[in-house]
Formats: sequence, C-alpha cells, structure tokens
Amino acid sequence: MNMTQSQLSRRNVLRAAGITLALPWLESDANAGTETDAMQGSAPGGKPPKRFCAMYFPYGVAVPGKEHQDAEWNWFPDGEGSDFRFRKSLEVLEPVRADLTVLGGLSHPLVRKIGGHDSGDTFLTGADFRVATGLKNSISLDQFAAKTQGLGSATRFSSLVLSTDGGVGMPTRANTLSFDAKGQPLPSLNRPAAVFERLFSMKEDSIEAQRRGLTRTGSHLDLLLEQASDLNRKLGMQDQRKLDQYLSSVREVEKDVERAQQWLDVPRPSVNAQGLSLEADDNTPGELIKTMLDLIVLAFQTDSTRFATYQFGSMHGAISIAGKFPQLLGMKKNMHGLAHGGKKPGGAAQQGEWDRFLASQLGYLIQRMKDIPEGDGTLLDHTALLYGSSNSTTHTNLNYPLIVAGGKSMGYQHGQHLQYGKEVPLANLYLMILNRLGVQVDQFADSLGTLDI
Amino acid sequence: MATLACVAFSSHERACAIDDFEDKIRPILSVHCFECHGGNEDDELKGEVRLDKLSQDMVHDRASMEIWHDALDAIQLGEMPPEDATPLGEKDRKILVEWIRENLDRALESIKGSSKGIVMRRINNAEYAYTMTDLLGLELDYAKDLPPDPVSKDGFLNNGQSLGMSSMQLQVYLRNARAALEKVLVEGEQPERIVETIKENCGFRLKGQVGDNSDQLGRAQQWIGVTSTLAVDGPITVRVKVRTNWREGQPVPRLGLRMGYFVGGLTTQFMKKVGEVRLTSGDWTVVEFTSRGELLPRPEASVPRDKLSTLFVLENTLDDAKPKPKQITKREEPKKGKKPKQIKVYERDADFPQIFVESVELVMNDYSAWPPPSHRRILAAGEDLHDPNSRRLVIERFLQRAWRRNPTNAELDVWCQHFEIIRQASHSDIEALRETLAASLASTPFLFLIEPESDSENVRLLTSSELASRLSYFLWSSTPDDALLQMALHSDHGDLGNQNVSNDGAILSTIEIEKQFERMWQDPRSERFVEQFCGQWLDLDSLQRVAINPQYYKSFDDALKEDMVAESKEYFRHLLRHDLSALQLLHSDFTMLNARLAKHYGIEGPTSQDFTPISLEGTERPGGLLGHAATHMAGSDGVNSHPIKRAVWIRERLLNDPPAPPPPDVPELEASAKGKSKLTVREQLQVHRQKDSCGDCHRSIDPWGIAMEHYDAIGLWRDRVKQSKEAVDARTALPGNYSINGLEELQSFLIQVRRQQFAKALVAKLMTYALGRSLDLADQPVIDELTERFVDNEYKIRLLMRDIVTSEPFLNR
Repeated sequence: MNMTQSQLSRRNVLRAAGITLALPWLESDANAGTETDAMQGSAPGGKPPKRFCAMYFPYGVAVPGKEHQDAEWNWFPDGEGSDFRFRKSLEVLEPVRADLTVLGGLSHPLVRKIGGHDSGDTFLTGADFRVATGLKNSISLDQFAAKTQGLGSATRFSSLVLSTDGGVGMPTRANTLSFDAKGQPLPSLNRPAAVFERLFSMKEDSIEAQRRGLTRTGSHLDLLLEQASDLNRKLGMQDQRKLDQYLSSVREVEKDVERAQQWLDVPRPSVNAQGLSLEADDNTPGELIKTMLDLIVLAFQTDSTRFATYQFGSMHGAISIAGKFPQLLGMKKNMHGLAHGGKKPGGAAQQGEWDRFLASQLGYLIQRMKDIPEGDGTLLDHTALLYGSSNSTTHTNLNYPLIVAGGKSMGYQHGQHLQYGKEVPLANLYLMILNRLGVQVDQFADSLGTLDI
Repeated sequence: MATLACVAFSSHERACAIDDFEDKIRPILSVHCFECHGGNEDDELKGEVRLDKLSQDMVHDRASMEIWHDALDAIQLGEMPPEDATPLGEKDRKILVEWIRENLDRALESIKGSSKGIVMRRINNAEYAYTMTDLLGLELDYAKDLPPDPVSKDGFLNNGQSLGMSSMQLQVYLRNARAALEKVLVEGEQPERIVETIKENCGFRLKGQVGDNSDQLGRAQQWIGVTSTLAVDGPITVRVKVRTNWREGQPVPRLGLRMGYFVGGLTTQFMKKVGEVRLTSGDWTVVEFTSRGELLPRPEASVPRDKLSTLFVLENTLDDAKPKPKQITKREEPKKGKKPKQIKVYERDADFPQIFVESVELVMNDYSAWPPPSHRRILAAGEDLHDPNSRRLVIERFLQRAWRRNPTNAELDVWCQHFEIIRQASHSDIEALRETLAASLASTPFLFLIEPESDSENVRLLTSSELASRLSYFLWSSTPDDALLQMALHSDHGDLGNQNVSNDGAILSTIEIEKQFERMWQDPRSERFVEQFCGQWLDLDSLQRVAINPQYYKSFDDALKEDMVAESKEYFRHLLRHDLSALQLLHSDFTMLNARLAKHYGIEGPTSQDFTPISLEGTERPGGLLGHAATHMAGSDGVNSHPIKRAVWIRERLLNDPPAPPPPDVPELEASAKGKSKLTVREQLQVHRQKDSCGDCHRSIDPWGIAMEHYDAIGLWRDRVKQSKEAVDARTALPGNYSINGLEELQSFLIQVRRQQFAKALVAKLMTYALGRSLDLADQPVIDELTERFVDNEYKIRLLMRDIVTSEPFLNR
C-alpha cells in the first residue's frame, strides 16, 4: 500500500491494531516476558504435562546394502549403540543427535503378511488387518492413551489428528493414523486454517451466548438420538452399522459439549495467526508441513491437547495428494516412484533426498520444541515424539525405520542407534511409550514386553 | 460358473477356470506341493500349511481362504514350489493360479458385504452443499470444514458403504445449519442499506500484481478500488459503470470482479472471484454483480474493524491465449512539487477489445425484500409462531422438505415439543425456530438416504418419496424440488414414517417418472450430474495429484490443468446434451477446446476461454477421451508417460475390467539388464512381463498403455522420449493377439472389438453412480438388458439414464 503505513513498522501497526503479538517463533527470547505472557502457560506452577506425538510417512526409506554404490543413502546409521554415524539421509539430524534414538528391526508381526501398501492403517495399532478378518482395525496408541486411559481429558481437546489428505480415506489406505476403541478411523484435519480455527479461534459470541448454545446442542443431541433410535427398529444389519456410527458420533459430540462447557470460562489461548502460513496447501509442501508442525507445537505449548498424530501422506499412490511432494520440491519422481526406484542405479540416492527432506522436517520440530522453555527444561523434554513408516523399503512390512525423540523428563535416554530382532514386536516400544506417559498397563496390542530407551 | 468377479477380472484375458478341484487341481498339488504341505498326520508340515485337507470352499471357510491367498502369493512370487521340488510347468501353473484366484475372487466378493445391496447412505460433501443451498435458498461454502469423502472401490464418492460419520462431521453439520439459518430467518428491522461510490482507481498495488492500474482495461490492466467499509455479511451488490470499444468479429471482452480485504499495515490481500460479465455495449452501461459478505474472504474476529478495507479489482478477463504484452518503462507526469518518476506499464494491444471503467458502487445489506424470500419460504406472511397450530404447520413444512418425506405425527409431536423446550431459553420465537430447524439439519432423515428393509420381503418397491430422492440425487446431487416432492408425497399413501412398505399402489408410474426425468434433465441443476459423474468416473481429480516437472516442460503453466479437465467434462457434456453417441468417447473427429488449450495443442479456432466444439479433421490430434491431454497427464508421473497407469485407467474406467491388485512384495522394474546399462520403460516392462510372477497379469495390462506412448506427460505428441532421447515405440499386441501400433489403432480396436464391453462398462458405471452402491451378481441381468437397449438407442447417454431410472434396481431396494 502506498499510503501512510510505510512510515510505521509492521510491528507497530499490529500493536496499534491491538493484535496480540504472540509469535514465539518469530519474536526473540527478549520478548518472551512481555509478549508471550498472553499465552496460556502450560499448567502454570505445576509440573509440565506429558505429551505424545506420532508422525508417519509412507513407502519406507532407501536401504541400499553395503556394496551398493549409494550405500551412503541407507537411512539407517552406520554403527550401533551410542557409537554410530548418521548417513546422508539423517545427517540433517546431527544437531539434535542427543535428543533422539534411531530404531531398526522392529515391525508389527500381524502386519507382516498383508500387502505392503496396506500397512499404513496399522502403524499405531498393530492390528490383524486382513481382508479375511473383515479389515477390522483396533485402537491406536494415541487414542488408547488419550481416550481409554483418559490422559487426554485434562485439556480442551483430547487429541489432534492431522494428515495431508484429510478425512479417513479408505480401509488399507487410511488418511489418518488414529483409530478409536472400535477400530473406526478418526477423520484427520488437513487444512492449517481449519486446525488453527479449531484450536484457537476467537468466538465473537459472549460466554453466555456460547453457554446457551452448548446447552441447546446438548438437548438437540437427545432429540437426534431419539429420532435415530426410532429408526433403529426398522433397519437391517447393514443399515444398523451405519446407524451405529451415527449414534456413537452423537454421543461423542455429547462428550465434546460437556468438555466445552467445562472449558467455557477458560479463555482460549491468544495466539496470532500472522507468521503462520495458514493458507499453505498441497502446492507448497515445505510450507504446509512446517505450518502443521508449528500448529502441533502451538497446541502442545498452550496445553490445548497432549496427543497429536500427523500422517505426511498415505500409501494410496493413485489418490494421495502428497504423492507429488517430492517433485514439487525439485526431485525427479513422485513418492511412489521414488520408493519403487530405490534399488535401481541412482534410485537410492533419489529416494534418499526425499528421506532427508522428511528427516529435516523432524529436525525442525525437535529444534522448535527444544527452543521453548518449559518448567525445568524444554517443551521437548516433556514430549515423546515417534517418527517412522510401516515399510522399510517399499512393500516390505519389516524393519520399520523409526525414530523416537524427546521426553527426557519421562526417562528417555537418547543419542543411540538400536537394532532389534524380528522376534521383538513393535508394540513393545508402544508399551514403553505408554508406561512412560504414566499409563500403568502391561500390554498394548500384541506386545510381549517392553523396551528400554 | 460365471461369477461377477470372473467377468470383471478376466472375461477377455483368461478363460474362466473350471470349478473342478478333484480333476484338475488336486493332481497338480499332489505332484508339486503335498510332499511338504500334506500327507500323513505324523509328517512334518512346512510352515504349518496343509493343502491336501484344506477346504476348497473359500466362500464359507475364511480360514482356508486366507491360506489359499497365501499360497497364491507364494506361487506368484515364484517362492513355491521351492527349487528342490518338482518344478511347476507353465501350463499347470496357470491352471492352478486361475483356479485359486477364481475362488478367491468369489470369496472376497462374498465378504465385501455389498451384495446385500442398498445401505443407508450419507449424502456426500458435494451433495450436502447443494442440498443446503437448495433447501435454504442461501449459498454458502457448506462443505469447507468437512473432511474429504472416501473414494469407493468403484471410484465413486457416493457409495453408501464407504461413506462414514464422525463427531467432527456432526459438529460441522450443526454449526453450518445454525450459521445459515441465522441469515435465512431474520428478526427486527431491515438493516439499513449502505451505498458507497468509488470513483477512483486508487494507486494500490496488489501483491504479485501483473499489470498496471488503469481506467482502461486491456490485457494487463487492473482497476483497483478501496473503501473503508467491509461487508462481512448480508447480500451485496456491486454496480460498475462501464463501456467497451468491442467491434463485431472480435472476441467478446468480459469484466471480471474480484473482491476481498486487506489489513492496514500488512502487505497481503485476501481476494476472491465474485463474477464475470460479458460486455458488448459501446455506451456507458451499468453492470451488476451480486454476492454475500459471507462468501468473501473475511478476517478473523480479532482484527479491529477500523484496520480493514474492502478491495475491488476489475479486470478484462477475456483470454485469447495471446502472449501477455511487454512491460515498458514510462516517465510519469510529475505531481505538483514532486520529482518525475519512471514507472512501469504494459504495452497496449489495439486489436484487443478494451473496457472503460467509470465508477463502482457498492451496496451493502441489499435485501430485495424484508423479510427476504428465503425467510418467507419457511415462515409465510401471517404465520404466527405463538399460535401452536401455525407453529406445527411451519415445522411440518420444513421437516417435510428437509427430510424429503412426510414427518409422522409422533415425530412432529417430538419436534414441536423440542421447539418449546428451546423456546424457554431463547429470546424470541425466531431464535427458537432457527435452533429447532438447525437440529433437523443434523438428523438422520436429512443426512441419510434411508430406505428401510421390508419386514416380509427381500426386495420391495420404493415409496414415491424414496424414489424422488433417488432421482434428485442422481440428476441434481441434491434434494428434490417442491414440484417433485409434492408429486411424490401425493402418490405416497398413508404415513411414510410408519410406512407400510408393501403398498405398491404408491409408486409413480413409469410415465410419471420419465416426465420428471425430462423436466429435471432440462433444469440447470442437472449440470451437477455432469460435474460429479464425469469427474468421478474419469477420475479427473487425479490431474491435481501430478506435479509437472518444469525441468522438462519449461513453459507449462499449471493453470492449463484446469482447461484439460474442462476439455473432458465439456466433451462429455456436449455428447450428453446433443444426444450424440457415447462411442464418440472412444473415437471422434472433434473435441472441445478453448483458446488456451487449442494453443497448447497447436490448433486454430477458439478465441476466448469458452469451450467450443472444434473439428479435428486435418489436424494430427486424436479425438475421444484417449486423445485428451487430461488422460495423458493423469497417466504420467509428471515427467514421463506411465504406461501402466494409463492401462489400468482404460481397463478400470472404460472397460470396467480392473486388473487384480498386485500381490505383496512386488519386485521392482529392472532398470538394467545384462549387456545393457539402461533400459527404456518399454524394455523394462518387457523384462517385467517375462517374469512369471508378474507376467500373469502384466501381459494383459501393459499393451493398453504402450499404445499411448506417443503422448507425453502434458498430452503432446513426441517421436522421442525427452529424458532418454530414445525413439518412441508404440507397437504392441493386445490380448487376443491383435498387433497394433499407436493410439489410433488402439481406438479402432476399441471401437471394433471392444465396443460391447465399453458399452456395458458405461452402463455399469452409470448404474453404480445412480444407485450409490457397488453392483453385484444380482444386477448382471439388468446390466445386460440395459446394455442391449443402450446399443439399440445408438449409445445415447440420456436415454440410458432414462432407462436406468425406470429399471428394476432403481425402483426397488
């Protein structure tokens, strides 16, 4: 604009406009005292909460053998224990080496047999997910902790479910990592603006009007249940299943309404959207992923939720909008193409470029969390991150590439590369994650024990 | 045994396997497998798999089905029989694989669960948005916050089995309904009309603006106006005073309006297209655009109003695909007391019709009447919500329209009671009514197409109102209009909520249905059918999933993707609207082009962005879907052609004969072979086909795609592959040993040899879409019958659709 604004700095104008400058990732620490106090500190005074975030990418990684000309693009580090060396794909994680552990050899035993592109649905569930058993899934790790174990009940949202494609997708090609107790997929959000709106949007209505709205919603739900159960008596089996889904959705909304009523008097954290690329979409993958990660950080930082899952892409080569990301970033092939080319001459290097890009996103997230002080440590210390895929190389449901990061306050020891045998189910790791989150159970999915990281 | 699976997977490529285990299969197994996977009880079993006593009835024995499945994988992967066993000959191998697959397919079909037919079907996101718009008479972006719908196995978005429900959706439905009803049902005085006139094209520069600000709009000029009031809701009208120097013979210029806002101090603007109007008048005329504040970009609630301004951008949006003019530097006349400045402007093209803008008038709160017509549709003049009878009538009328059926008395009691409960905590009757009606827009009869089973029979006739919904969701992707609904309700006997489903007197006659069909066909809402069906059937969304690599296609503009999709849609629409033969989808001497796409193809003719039929005679361009760039691009990886993708597309979409999905642990294409460092894609596929495990399927897949090799990722002819510089070789042999070379011969083959299969496929696809469910064995006879009529009717799609709406599966559940 060529008018008077040029005399004012953007910052001053924002200030004048009364827009809260809660831009922790833009503003230097010097401002922390003045600017970020508008933000809801997480559990002020008390102990910081324990959190968990899982991130998934499809098709596995490049795993060329030692003799291969591209051996340096093998995703797994060279050497084990604490004496290991990142190869090219993960070397971008060198600055946060002490904050993470690379795991190899793990997989879900029940998933080994199914189609290689079918395993995404089970990454966090480990279910026996075959056509023969009706493609029935089971509860995911995040939902087990947040819902079944109630760890998500202390926050405004019990969990945050994100993906690039959005919604639920289709069985074997789910667009979500999260499944409820019945094995039903939970729809994921894929537009940053929608995520922001859900987490932080300011309601124009007064608290009173909102309270009235919620009360009414509550009574609507009774009516909707009544209307639907009236139908119940007339329906056949197939319809019944659809109706059940509707009924449990209504009950779920009921719980959400109750929760919202409890949270009504607690003002939403004041977070400003400037500085977040909320309009980023699938044409700008770098920006999109970064924004989603920023939103996860914000959600945790403001203690809006303690559980998040994020699927970078689904294994539906023909349908996932994320398939084209590598090409938009200047790489030669789409995700599926890169994965399939992994063993061709030069293919491992090409796929490795993509592995490296993804790893750098993880690096960004770790660093962001590390930069945010919380309690006697940082946000990262109170958050366990799980990052990985359900294929090692494409189609192979074994030897998942996995990284666990953060969570030092929960007892995680990092800076290691650990390899496990085929007899160790991945659910052992999940049980450990649960135990460290404070869930006292001795089994999750098909776990046979626990791990120690 | 002609199972559907058999027809779908193999009718042409494989003879159906004979269901004769003892005669054909057991002998093979006993030679090659039983040594390890059979024999005496005491013998050691390998992998705990025992084949000799395994049930052959995979349909009823799921455990055995799983084992057969594993066995098939093992055989296909070449893992079994192992090297030390008696090798499996090619012929026996084929017999074995086919028998297992045959039975597996049937078993898979049986657990798929769709064979039971219709399931209560949630309206999908597009249908929901159309339904809300039509029902409330208010267009908003209703589907924005809904999670994307799942694509069914058949490629459609309206499959009842796939469509799910979650609390997140339910919350959005409720929120949308409230927000919309708040605008539809109004209270109090009419808001004051606010009129603002903007006379000046301000000096505002848009972020990323190409062009200069001017009152005279040519190829690269914008007229940009600013006003400090922001229309956040309510109807708005923008009147623009304009004229043009258009001359007969020139393409017609269009005035395009974009509106939005900016926040003082920030450099980003948030803009959205409002409309486009054609102009021919040389005299000053006033052109009108209408919209609503809610449809325009709106700032967050927290941004103070005094920092916000409305932006108007007027442009001449005529696009004749001629290159944009050059930027030139001009000396600007100095303003008083200022130094002269160098400014950059764009050259003018005298042959391009110009638009002259004089002024813009913005009218906010521009209600045509108060209360507005949408309000009156729910609450008629004189109806008093205080009066219980009147109230009941209002609620009944709305529920009837929202639920597409009559509410029962019992239901009505409950909903009227609900109004009273809500009323106690509301400020006004209107507020309570809004709330009550909003709840109905999240209820099952609104969100689902429900056709309850009959108590006594397996199959029953639909009631007229159920049928009306099927018709309108098929043709309009939306709710029945009043004419259709009233007619249906009058034919339905008795109380639909407690319907006595065997009242067959209730159904509309075939003549009545066909009459409604014709009427609905003429209605502009039937354009939604073209949009939805064509897009889903041909999977035109897939272009958005391809990233064209600029390294190889330097001048490719991503905006062209939209034109490519439009070519296929407009072409389908043209065939449909002009009752032309659907065979022209396979082969044709014309296509639909606009100026941009014509330029891409190197064809003369179109002079604007509008699509018109263009003859392809005398050009090198092939007609029909296989000649459309959209098909080529969707079947590419953004760099090179992807013959397998293209082949699968043809078999899935055009022939309804999808290849079986690849087995687990598919080996990768070999990029090199002995003696040669790098293989072409064609050679890689050849190696691939020679492998037994891949060849079984790929021999019948690859040729379809290889025939299209002359078309690159952006749909242009090539003699050589750009990346490898190798000459293109499009010679191949189609199943049945038809040797062909290139696309044209593929098209001839389809027309001559596969015409019937294509016709049947299109019938099946349309039927699948019309019914909102996957087809099964029970539908085969009708599909055959409809196909016959389709052929007799010279492949006219409209007539096929008319036959579908009066066919058994459409009239029954």
